Amino acid sequence: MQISKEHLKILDIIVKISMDSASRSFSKTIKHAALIELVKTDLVDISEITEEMNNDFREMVASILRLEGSLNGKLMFMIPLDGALMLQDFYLQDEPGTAKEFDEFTEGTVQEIGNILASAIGNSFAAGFGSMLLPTPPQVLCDFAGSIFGQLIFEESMDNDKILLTETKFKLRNTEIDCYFFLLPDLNTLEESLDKYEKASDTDSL
Amino acid sequence: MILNNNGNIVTVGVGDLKVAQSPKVIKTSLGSCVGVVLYDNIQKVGGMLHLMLPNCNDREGKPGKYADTGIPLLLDLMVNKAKSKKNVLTAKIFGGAKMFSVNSEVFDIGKSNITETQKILGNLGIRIIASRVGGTKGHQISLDTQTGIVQSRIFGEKTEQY
Repeated sequence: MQISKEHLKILDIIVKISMDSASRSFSKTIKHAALIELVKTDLVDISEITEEMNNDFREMVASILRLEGSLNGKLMFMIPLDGALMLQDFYLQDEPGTAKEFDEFTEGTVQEIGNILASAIGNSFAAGFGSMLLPTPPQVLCDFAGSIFGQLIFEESMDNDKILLTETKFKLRNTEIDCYFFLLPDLNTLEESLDKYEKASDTDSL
Repeated sequence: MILNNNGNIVTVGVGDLKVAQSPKVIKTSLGSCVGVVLYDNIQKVGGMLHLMLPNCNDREGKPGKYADTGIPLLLDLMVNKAKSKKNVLTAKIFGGAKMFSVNSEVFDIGKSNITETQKILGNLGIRIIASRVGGTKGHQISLDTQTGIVQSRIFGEKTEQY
């Protein structure tokens, strides 16, 4: 898997802009501030990144979607199970502590947050690349962090030992809840989009 | 992510394999992937492979990703690096879940991983003395190299020992 350093830099900038927009949409939806703690874009070794994830013992809820259009890719929003219950209370505007166990409302909340984040990212990327990107309906998984992450990267890891991954960590203000957002762009369509983006930028600067 | 900084814990990622001696504990999390544990009760040495596909099919890349290249490599490490005798080695296998309820070969790869793992271990003459495979949920396993016991936890179920 190849990507130039220049393209990695451009992607990093676009991702940071996208995440800024996504965090605003996220905060607005749950009526509670979601603060970005980390945004990282890198070509990572599948064994090393999953080793890190397999050290996380927590039970998580995740919403996985695909982005389809001129740029393809996969997105995942992941939050610890206790955090998902708190998120549900924020989202449904219930008193904190109302949601006690994972049910269809928790699943629906995580699905919806995944949708909202994916749409915000899709819109930012579409604006940057001047093309249309649509998220597919989300699929929710409730499982161990490592098991979920392994499934996210499964297809990409079949033919590659390294994958391009962007990781964003959010913290819900005044809580101990952190949640994660991962983006796995498809490298072939990404290169095409970045080439177009570079050409458009060059034309604009003339 | 929360990291376990205990120096006695060795974690195995996807497509990787690790060998360690007592008092180390080797652990991993599995979905549709299969975890193969080899153990030498004499030297108190254990090895763990986290494979994701049944066959290499001339693909390049990490041999640990595939059952047909990863299992022989793990056996080679145990015999030639850890100096275990092949006839004392026993195997335990875990994982191979169908994580997505989608009728697709990619998402039912767990079943093929289990079948191929059993076949290869059989061909290599390594006895499988315990297994907990299949299902639809993820799996956390940890091997205690002092005892050879594997703690196996399936999501939503209690931890069991193998």
